[in-house]
Amino acid sequence: MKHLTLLLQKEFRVFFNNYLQSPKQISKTMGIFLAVLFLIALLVNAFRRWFDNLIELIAPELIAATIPQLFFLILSWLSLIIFVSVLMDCRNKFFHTADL
Amino acid sequence: MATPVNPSLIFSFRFINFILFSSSILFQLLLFGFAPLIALGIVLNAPWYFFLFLLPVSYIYLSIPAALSLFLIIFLLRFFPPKKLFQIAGALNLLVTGLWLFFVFSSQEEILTLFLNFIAQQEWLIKLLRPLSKTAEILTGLLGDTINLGRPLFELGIMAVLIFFLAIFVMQKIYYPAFDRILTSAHTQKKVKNHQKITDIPNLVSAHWKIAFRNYEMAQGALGMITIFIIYFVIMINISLEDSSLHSLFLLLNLAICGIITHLVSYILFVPPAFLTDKQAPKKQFWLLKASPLSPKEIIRSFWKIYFIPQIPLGIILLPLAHIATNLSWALFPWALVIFFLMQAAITAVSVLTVFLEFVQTSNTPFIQKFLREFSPMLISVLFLLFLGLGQYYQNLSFLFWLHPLNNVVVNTIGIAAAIIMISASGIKSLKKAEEFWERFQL
Repeated sequence: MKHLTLLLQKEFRVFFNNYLQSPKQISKTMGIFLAVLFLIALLVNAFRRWFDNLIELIAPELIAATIPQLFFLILSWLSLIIFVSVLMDCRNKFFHTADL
Repeated sequence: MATPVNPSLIFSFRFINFILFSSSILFQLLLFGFAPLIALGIVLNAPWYFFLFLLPVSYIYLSIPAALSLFLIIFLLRFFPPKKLFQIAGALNLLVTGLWLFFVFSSQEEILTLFLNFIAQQEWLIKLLRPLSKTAEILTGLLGDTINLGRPLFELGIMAVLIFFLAIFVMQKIYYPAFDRILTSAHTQKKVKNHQKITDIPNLVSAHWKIAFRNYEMAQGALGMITIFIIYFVIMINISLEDSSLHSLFLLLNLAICGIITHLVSYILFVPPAFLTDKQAPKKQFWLLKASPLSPKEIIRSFWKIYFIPQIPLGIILLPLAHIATNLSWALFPWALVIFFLMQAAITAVSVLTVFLEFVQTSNTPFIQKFLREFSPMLISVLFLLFLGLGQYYQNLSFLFWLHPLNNVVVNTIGIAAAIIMISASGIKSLKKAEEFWERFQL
């Protein structure tokens, strides 16, 4: 546990030294944050229109029953994408010390 | 591995760090998780706590596929070489992402309603996938149903913790012993191949591209650029182009998109991430070349070929696809091809110059100057296309200029001449300047 705390401390120190020490880095981080917020707003708007169209195609009495299936759909696709992207990223993030 | 820390601790630290801060996970979660879930919440008038719980629930949920993927990679690495696995995973990633974007951005709601019906019929099968069904149950419960949230939340948490410990166990039993064995084994010394003489251009290009593809972070970036093209393709295929006066505008747009994507895909691979942080990185990369007896002209020309030659097949694939998507006349295609390769040849020269400008870049270089350097190839291509399109839309834009009484044909000729002169001059001048910087480069 002591080692894990040390590792975490080191990571945070590197993070603060690199990103938050200079005003330039802070403004850059803020810029990225605002860009991400803008991207979320854009995407949410696009998906909202898409769900509106989708719900129009479903009979009104069936909408309540369809909601869990919509969640299944989004979550299963999300897990598929995460699964594949971890598969792809593993090489850099976990195994760069070893090449089995 | 040399530290006295328990390997399982390092693994857990990396795993948590990876799930919380990995840029690719965050991006995928944002695009394929939060955005549709927030939108669905808004459409269904969900209460405020639905949005509040989305973040923790999504993170707990996604730790499960991430851990499962880690298991799989450990087993697959025993049968396949890592390079092959990376290529297969990259292709799969592109396919899954592309399919999702196709369904969402090309309004394929009809197909998806069929898919939803299929899910409704096979619900018992999905119920067997406990983490998935429990997360869906939690989210449905948060929408205001009377379901007790405690139990599914508890079950999901338990499953995530179990899978996490299972991953640590597998790491301890399989991964680290194998790693130790490899470190201590005498058979792992790599055989040194006799280097073939690189004499001709195809060999030179392929040798550099093999090295470039080992730059995994940038290879992912290059794949991301292709995804942007897929989005453009899908959007354009859904826009019916009735107004023929817009044809040349779409042709220019195609050229700009294909040009910038082709340029970035070929260029990004050659920029190691170390260039952004390590000031000595260019020296480390080019010292051997500098020490060789080749003339600056030969070296710069070879660099230009390395960047430009792979753009030819890429352009030949992307440009017709964009042409099909925008439904343009094929009579315009030969012109598009000529303009495209002229533009790419010149901006490749400019990007060669930007690589060599790294040598003179200091920490005092103003941000705007660095920005202009990095984006100069794109700015030049946009300016080139604007000049080309000037004559086409002169009538619409004429109120902006004092040139109002001029004939359309005259403006068109001036625009085309200016575009060709500007692009050729910037290409040739960039190559000359790059030679100059190469000569000034000190080891």
